[in-house]
Amino acid sequence: MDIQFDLFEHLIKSPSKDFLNQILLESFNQTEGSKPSNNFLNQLSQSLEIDQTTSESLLTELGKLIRKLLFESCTDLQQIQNVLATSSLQPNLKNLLSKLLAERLAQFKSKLINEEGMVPKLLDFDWRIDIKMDSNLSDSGSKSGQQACILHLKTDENSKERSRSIMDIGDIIKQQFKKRSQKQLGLLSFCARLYPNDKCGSNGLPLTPNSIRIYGKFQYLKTLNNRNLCRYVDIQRGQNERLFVLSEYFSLNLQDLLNDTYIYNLIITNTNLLVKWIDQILNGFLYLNDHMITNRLVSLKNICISPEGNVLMTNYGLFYMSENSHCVNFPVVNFESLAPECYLLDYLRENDTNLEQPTSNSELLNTDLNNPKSDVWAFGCILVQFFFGLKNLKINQEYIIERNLNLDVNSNGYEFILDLYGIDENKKNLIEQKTRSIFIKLIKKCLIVDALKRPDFKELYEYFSECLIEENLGSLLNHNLGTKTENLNLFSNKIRFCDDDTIQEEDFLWRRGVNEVYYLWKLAAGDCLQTLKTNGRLKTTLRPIHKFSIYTEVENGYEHGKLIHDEELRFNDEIVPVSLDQIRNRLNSLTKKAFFPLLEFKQDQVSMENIQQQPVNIRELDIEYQFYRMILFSRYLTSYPFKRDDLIKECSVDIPPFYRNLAWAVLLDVSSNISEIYASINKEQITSTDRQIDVDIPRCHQYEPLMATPQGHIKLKRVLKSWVISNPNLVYWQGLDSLCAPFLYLNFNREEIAYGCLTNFVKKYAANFFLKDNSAVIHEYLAVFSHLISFNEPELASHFESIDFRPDLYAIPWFLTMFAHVFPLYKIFHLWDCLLVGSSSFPLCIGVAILKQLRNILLNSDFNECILFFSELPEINIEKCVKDSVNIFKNTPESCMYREHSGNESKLEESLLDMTPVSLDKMRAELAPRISGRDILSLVENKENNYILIDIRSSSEYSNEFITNSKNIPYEAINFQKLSQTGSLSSLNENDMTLSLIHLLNKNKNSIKIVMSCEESIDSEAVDLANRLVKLKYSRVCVLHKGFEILKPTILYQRKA
Amino acid sequence: MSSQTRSGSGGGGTASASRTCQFKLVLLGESSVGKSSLVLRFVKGQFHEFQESTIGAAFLTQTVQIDDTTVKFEIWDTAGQERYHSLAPMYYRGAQAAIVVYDISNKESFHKAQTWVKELQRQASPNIVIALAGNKLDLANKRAVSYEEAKQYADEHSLLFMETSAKTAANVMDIFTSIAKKLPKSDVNEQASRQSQNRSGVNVGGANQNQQGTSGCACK
Ligand SMILES: Nc1nc2c(ncn2[C@@H]2O[C@H](COP(=O)(O)OP(=O)(O)OP(=O)(O)O)[C@@H](O)[C@H]2O)c(=O)[nH]1
Ligand SMILES: [Mg+2]
Repeated sequence: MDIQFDLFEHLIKSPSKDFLNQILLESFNQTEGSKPSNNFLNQLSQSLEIDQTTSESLLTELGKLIRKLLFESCTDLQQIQNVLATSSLQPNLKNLLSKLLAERLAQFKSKLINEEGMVPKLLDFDWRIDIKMDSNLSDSGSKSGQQACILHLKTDENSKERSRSIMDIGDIIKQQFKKRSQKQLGLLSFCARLYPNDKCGSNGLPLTPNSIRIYGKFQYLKTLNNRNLCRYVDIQRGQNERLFVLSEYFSLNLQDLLNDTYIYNLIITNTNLLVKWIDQILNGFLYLNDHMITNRLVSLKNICISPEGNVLMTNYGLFYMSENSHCVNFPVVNFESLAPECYLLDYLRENDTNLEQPTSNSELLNTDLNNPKSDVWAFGCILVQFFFGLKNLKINQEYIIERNLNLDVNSNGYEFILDLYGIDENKKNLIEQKTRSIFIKLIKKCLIVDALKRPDFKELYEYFSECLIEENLGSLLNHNLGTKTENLNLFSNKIRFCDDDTIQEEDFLWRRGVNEVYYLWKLAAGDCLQTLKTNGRLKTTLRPIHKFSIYTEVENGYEHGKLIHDEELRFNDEIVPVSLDQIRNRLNSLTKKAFFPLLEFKQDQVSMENIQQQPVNIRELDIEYQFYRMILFSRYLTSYPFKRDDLIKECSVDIPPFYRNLAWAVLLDVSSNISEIYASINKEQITSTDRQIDVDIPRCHQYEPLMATPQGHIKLKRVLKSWVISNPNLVYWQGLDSLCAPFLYLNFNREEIAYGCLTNFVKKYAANFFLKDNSAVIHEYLAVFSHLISFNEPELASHFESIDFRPDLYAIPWFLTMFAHVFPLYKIFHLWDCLLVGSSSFPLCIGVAILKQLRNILLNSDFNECILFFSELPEINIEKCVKDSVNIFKNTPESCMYREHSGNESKLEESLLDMTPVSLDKMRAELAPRISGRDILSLVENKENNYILIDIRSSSEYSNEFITNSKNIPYEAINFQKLSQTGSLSSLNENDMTLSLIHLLNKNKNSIKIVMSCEESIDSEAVDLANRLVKLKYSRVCVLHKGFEILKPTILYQRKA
Repeated sequence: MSSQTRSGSGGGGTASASRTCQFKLVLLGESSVGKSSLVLRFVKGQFHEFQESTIGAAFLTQTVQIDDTTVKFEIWDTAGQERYHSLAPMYYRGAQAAIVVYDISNKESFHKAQTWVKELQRQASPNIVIALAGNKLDLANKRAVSYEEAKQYADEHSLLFMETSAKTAANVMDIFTSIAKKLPKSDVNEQASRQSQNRSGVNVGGANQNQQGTSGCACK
């Protein structure tokens, strides 16, 4: 802001101090938008002897100065003088002006405050440029990145604080919300109902524990996303069927407001706010309705207020996740607000004995129980509580039940509730007078006893809107109902990003979104049970006898609430806040930059090299590291498909578990319209493999609760059937279920992505394994596997050869399921993290790496022991396995892993130098792999790679034509007896070919040893020598495919002139 | 009960009081009838409600004591899905005993068992001892195959027959012991020689001879 100080020179002619003061005032007023009167301008021009335009400019410039001083809080004389010091004004004038300004500024400032609130003082600012994605365009695929400037302004808190003193009532309320409400992670805990021990299902196997049923049912709740609902984050299982439910939560709720008379009085008269809240609550209910969820725990306590003063319902999913109370020992209900018809239905259920697991009959009953209109009644009840200011509503339960059961359908529900709540006629009249009629009307509409006549939420919302319009309050309705802002459009379904209006500006942690915060909390050793104990929810010690008595009671089936005296089992619907102090402390040291890293500027990124040397398991537990990785991945994923290549590069370092699902989908190139593809598959179609799928699913990774839930079973079946139906040339083989499990586990609420991953995974890594007749494919695969064992682990290969122990006996489940049938899920994740960035041959290397890890045991085992060993694979160190496989892959020429049935279309211009199929019989007869001419050329090119080329043609042929750097050891000159004798090689005789060979081999122990013959004698000579070398435990032996002839057209070929 | 001795008397140099015989036994039957569960019960005395499905085949061993003879079973537990059928010959070829399993609560699995019996009688070694096991006896209230029907079928085809339950362990020991009793017991040395001919009795494809032929004639 440039100020033309020289204009101020004119002030010297000012006739008086008062006039100067007036000039200052007018200048200030001008900045406020009020033009000085013509009268004053004339006076000014005359007094100072300047023209009209100059006087106007003078006022403008003076105004600027005042603004600047105010803005920078330069209010004392010294500061003002400093500002003016830079100008070339006369010292006298400077002094005078400074003095006058110092006198007036305070006045100006308070005027400013009164009129518009204080402008916060800018302390510091920072800026940077980054790419911002335009999410609107992402559907069309022509997504474009835009440069955007991001500004960070640091302002002075004090100046804000000062401004608070002068706000109106609405602002006071707002300030209260800001002060008292804080976004938190909330924890609710309860116990699932225990089954008697010997209870079995119809298949003779134990019933799915209720905690697992709830666990499965809960998953759907995670997908709910509405601006007026607190998000559900996760569920954990503890001991003794205890469950921990984590959700978004706020430290302030309607009950708290009710209890605070001061605020309550401000709010209850604030129609705007009340309408907004009712509108928001209705919005939440409508959303729940659309998602077939009945709340049943409607209470003032369960309606939170965000710092911005919006309301969000919490604890709304308990009835749903407990299968309408079936899976718990307590009724999920708020008696004070339970609809009359529910008493009847619940009463029926109580008397319908032995409903251990919903049968079709009871499910029918459940749909009745799941009566969404009961929430309308409850909504009416809490409105009564709120408007009538009923602070501590405590009514005897038996009394409520009795009153409800005796209620006549045609009676007046409103009067009934007022009576039940003990509100007398006087109070009723008083409140009704004070309250706007619209609210009373709404309450009456909710509290209609006859459920058939009671409106549902849609009707209620319409009714409410109409009433508002009647009272000319229509403009208060917030019409942009719906989900919270979402930015990321990956795989055509939305991922919630951190745009969130429920958090404080400065709270960077919460900007990461509640799911990431929770994940970090867990990494920071966050513990649910401990949280409960800290909040005094659990007695830390239980007397043994106490414990015992509970269990007998429960197991006898007398588990209905009243008999259980123990705190542990009693339901408490109070949500306790989870402390995030630990994460905040851990992340305290991080700069703001860490939260907003620049992808384009590498120097901005924190160096991770140290931690990246650590084992994956350690990295995954390192909160700071995961924090960085999560931010990095979320940034890449937000800009997908822009930064695809960078993302893949990062994946090859490691994949943060939090984003593994999406990272895998990216690695597998899942199509962006996968949702539509998946939706278009008719999953109900009956197929011949249905029975097999049905019997396999209950045996698939069931140790993992998610896979053992009824939902897990249903989803796995749907995904598998979709795959079967959409791959008509392939069939379901036992094992496909295991292959699918990791994908489903990671994308439990996104079946379509699981399906997309499975489809592309099979295409890439298990091409044709699932053909109806797959024997050619599998046997070729296993033959190549044998070759790789020989190449990398010749000792093992020769041992296996001697005991006739073939991969057919143990490796089919390995490769058919890519180890998913062999390892538990958590190990598969790490294995596949690596596999997915590798080529389709990579799994073969994993197989070799596993054998390598077990080498010593295997070498000392006979056939039976070996095979027993693989029936129950011992503990494998996955980290090491992954490292080894990468090395093996790097050190094995590509052509040695060539497979005819790899599913990769062979290149059109196939040259002689490439691999061609070899018959299975031949492959099995050959112990060593074949190498292509092309790979030899690249070995030559890449000089680091050492290799030896053993030309076994006759010496006369060799002297005619040969390959550069090859060594001639004619096949017929080799004495195989001698070759197999280890020991003294002392006398190197140039003419003894066998000794030369031994010498050559020993000198080049780690080199690739290529046996080369002419084409016609590959089978008879080259393969024979290679086989013998493998049996003699020479590593890295291979045979040149198609023989000497193919190298003729290359630069390696040399001919005697 | 059996005590597991991991073929300790291998060499047979010292004349031990008891003889050791080794037999190869294969389990066949429709998927999910409980083959793996039977083996697990027999070998480890355990039952897993979530027994994983079998892919290809699994191998386990267990010994039982019959009078003064220790009988060691080398058990091949095969995958039940029809598609894996083509692998089955590799496992039953050279087997001295087979247990064909069905699920008494599933009629279809009984039919499948019958086709396995037919195949074994036609293609396996002629002296093979075949037992028929009607598993999941604990589900008697959901029985779909009557004891009499199965018994009659077994008698007609000279099979050992028992109804078993891997879950409750009913008759599991017994069926293996009965098989062991019925097997011809020769001396351990004979066993050893037989084994060396046949490696360990698994015949993978036809590739065996082929390969030996190649390496044989390559010698000079
Ligand atoms: N009630 C009952 N269930 C059993 C019994 N035996 C096995 N099961 C269950 O039946 C299911 C299948 O058992 P498996 O042993 O895996 O069957 P399988 O024949 O090996 O199946 P494949 O490997 O697919 O060929 C598992 O869930 C077992 O828990 C039994 O005796 N009684
Ligand atoms: Mg099995």
